[in-house]
Amino acid sequence: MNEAARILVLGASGSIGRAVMAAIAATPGLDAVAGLHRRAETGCDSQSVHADATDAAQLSRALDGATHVINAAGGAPATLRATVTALCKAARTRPDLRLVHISSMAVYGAATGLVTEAAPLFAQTAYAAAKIAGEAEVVTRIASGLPAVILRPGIVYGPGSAQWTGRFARLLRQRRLGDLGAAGDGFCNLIHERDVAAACLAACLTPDAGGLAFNLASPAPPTWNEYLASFARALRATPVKRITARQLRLEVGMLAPILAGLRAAAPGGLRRRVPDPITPSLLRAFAQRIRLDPARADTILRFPRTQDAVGIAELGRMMAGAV
Amino acid sequence: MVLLSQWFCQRARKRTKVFWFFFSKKNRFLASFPASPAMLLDATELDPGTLLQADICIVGAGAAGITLALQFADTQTQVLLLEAGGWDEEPATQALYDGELAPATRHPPPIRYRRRQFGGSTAIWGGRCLPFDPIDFEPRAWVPHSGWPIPYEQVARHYGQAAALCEAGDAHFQAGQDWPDILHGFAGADFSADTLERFSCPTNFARRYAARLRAAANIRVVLHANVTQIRTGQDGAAVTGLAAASLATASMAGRRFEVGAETYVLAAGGLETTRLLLATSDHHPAGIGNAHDQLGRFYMCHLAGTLGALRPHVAVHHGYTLAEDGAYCRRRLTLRPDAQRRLRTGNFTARLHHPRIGDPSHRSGALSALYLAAPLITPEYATRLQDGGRGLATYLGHAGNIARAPLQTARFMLHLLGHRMLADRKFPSIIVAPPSGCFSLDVHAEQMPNPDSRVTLGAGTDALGMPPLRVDWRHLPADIDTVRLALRALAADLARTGAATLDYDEDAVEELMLRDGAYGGHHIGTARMSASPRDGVVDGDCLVHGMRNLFVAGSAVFPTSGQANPTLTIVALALRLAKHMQGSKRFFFEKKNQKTFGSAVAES
Repeated sequence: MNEAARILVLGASGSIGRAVMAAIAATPGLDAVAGLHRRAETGCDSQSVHADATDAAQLSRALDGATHVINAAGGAPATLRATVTALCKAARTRPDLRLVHISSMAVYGAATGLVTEAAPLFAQTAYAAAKIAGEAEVVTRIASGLPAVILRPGIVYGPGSAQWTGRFARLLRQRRLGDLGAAGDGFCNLIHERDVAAACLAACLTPDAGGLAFNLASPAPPTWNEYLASFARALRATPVKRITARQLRLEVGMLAPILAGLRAAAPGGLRRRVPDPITPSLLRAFAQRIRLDPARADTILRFPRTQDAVGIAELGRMMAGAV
Repeated sequence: MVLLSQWFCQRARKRTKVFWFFFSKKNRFLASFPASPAMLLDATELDPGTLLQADICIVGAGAAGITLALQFADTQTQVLLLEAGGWDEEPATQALYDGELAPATRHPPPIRYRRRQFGGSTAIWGGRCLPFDPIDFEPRAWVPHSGWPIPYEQVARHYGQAAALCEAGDAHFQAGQDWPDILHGFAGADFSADTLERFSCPTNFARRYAARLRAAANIRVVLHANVTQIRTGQDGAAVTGLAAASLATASMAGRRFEVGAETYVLAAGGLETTRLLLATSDHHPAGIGNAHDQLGRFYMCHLAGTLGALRPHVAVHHGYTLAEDGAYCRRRLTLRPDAQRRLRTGNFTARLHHPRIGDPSHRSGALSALYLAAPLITPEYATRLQDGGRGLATYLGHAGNIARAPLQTARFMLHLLGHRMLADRKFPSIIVAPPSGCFSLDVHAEQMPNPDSRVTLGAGTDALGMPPLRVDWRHLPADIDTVRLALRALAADLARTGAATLDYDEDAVEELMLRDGAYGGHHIGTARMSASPRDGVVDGDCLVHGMRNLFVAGSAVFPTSGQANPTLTIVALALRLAKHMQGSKRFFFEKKNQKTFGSAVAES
């Protein structure tokens, strides 16, 4: 292990960022610096720097003394893009800085079947386009001989995951999701947020990982129906409801635009009270028969992985009763 | 009753089409990911004389065929799944199922209770999912020809996945303490109320799994592909190809084409598979797998009927409860294995049932409404409604029931609308608490294997030149004894525990059990599994005796019928067959993979 490792975590207040900070804090010999925007908190007792991650100059100052940087910053597609551009620019003059960039399985677009890291990338959404553009910046760094690693996690779940855990818990409790029948036959490429954090550390500390992209996902992913049913049962949102295709069409075709409009129009405090829309992209994900091949990560990164059933049961215990 | 409810749902679907037009399936938001459209072919569009080739050819896309094909999805094995019908029932295609009935047999016409369409008879099944019991697999001295050549565990280990494919929830069939008692506190010496029956949606396997089949690049489904001949080599020990054809229509001539594969699986249903084996061989005049005159024999359905008057003395729960996994379940009354041994009976189960619908003395407006709807119902579903006469007094009695309980009737119809017609997971059957407080028993009993109960080929040919089936279904006195002895034991158990009083006319049991004839849709045993070719048609791996590459999937291979409805075990056996085929094919596929890998290395 690199005794002198000092890791800057961009987006340290986000769900993955917090998990990464916790993982670093739990690893002797590693020094974490939380890269935060404004007054965000990490929940960790660690050193932090405040910087606008889309500003190369501010990032450059934040990188002083860092041996590694993990880009876990979130935001709108334009922000995502600007962050990677600024980060690569700031890191250009630091040949020893290893950059670990968290991308997404969204870069594979509508691909189906077993997908390795060599699969072509396809921008199906603005988010995916931003992630692909971000990867391109990192690849340019790699091509110029500088150390960088790309991680492509699947569906990141865990207590901090608002998107894939909090939202689903609400939808399951509202009986708006459940057993989706043929609409839920796609694979849910689960990866626990603490596993993503472990993968980030492995990507920092494993020399062989340099210059590579890695899929991060369960080796035997459940279908979305299986995931939703086990999560519902863990939450005690039972009996698991069968959702008809008709109801899904109603949700996506009529309700989602209305809810999205309400969310956009509602003032901050009320926004959270607007029910979550079930979007067309979510519906596409539920049906997509894509399985990320995690073999490369298993061989090179070799991070400890949470079994899907264990992770879901744990979430259930944490969240059961909480509304 | 399950079938009856199914009919309501089908009619409702048609009626609600306009209402749901706005949310039509063409809605762009539900568009699934692009699958290869070429993976779903139609034989009517093939060039005449086409040769379709694959590693495995599965004949029949019902519960067994679709299950089997799915196990090979996204592997290197090329699979061809031939389906004789189209997406929906087509009268001309369905007519290919027509056949003869032996004069005295009490069996529905062969055209009924099965479907020649994509999804097979899962298009009309009721969804009841039950596992076989270990005793069903044992050789029982008092049941001639009993015993399976494979251990129960070899099938049971697949029930979990089978239940998932049937969308019947977890394969837990034991009622926990939290399940409502069927009869409060009842624990009989001979009868148990501790097992559950689970219900599928009921899942139409074609509608549910078509997208998965289409998405698999290695699977081709061919609709309107009727097998007309199984070609075997000179030694008769291997299938060398299939001749197949689509049916001619008014506007289009039928297409004839050929199929070549390494391995073939007949999964065309409990009757049609046997018809194919009997009718279509060039080197086996008596039929393939019929060297010892076993093919077509031992035809079993179940004996089923509604009888008796059960008056409970304790609280009753005869309806369904949703399990945590979302499936409808309920307890039932089963004859314990040790009681079967002591009484020397077959397997037996009973459920609390509403009184006979046709007799208006039940005073239920809901049941009377169903009775009056009978003329609108197709014969498959109406059978049990026609049990109370059709006289004016009967009609007036039913009309009176509705008039006396308009609210109850309206509530019932609303429930039917919400929980059956508009639901994906349908309330399994009509549950009505009889105002009289008097229930009947819905009985389902094993039929013992009987070589004289059989199907053979009839005279003439169908539109494709195939001889039709001739069904000579028979029952044994021992089948009736099973019901008689079981009812006697149940009445004693109920009396001893004080749970209820059961009255029935023992002399009428035979007539009541045979009133509806063979239970529709359970076609069991005509290509039975046996260790020796002398005793059956397929071996323990479902490979046809004497053949190297012809398997059978489906209820035709069951050596005994048990008390369970067959679909769950059909699916479990198909899963087992897939495992077997994948195991025995390992060498071939490894060789194939090595070749691919080798050439890739050479190119690099």
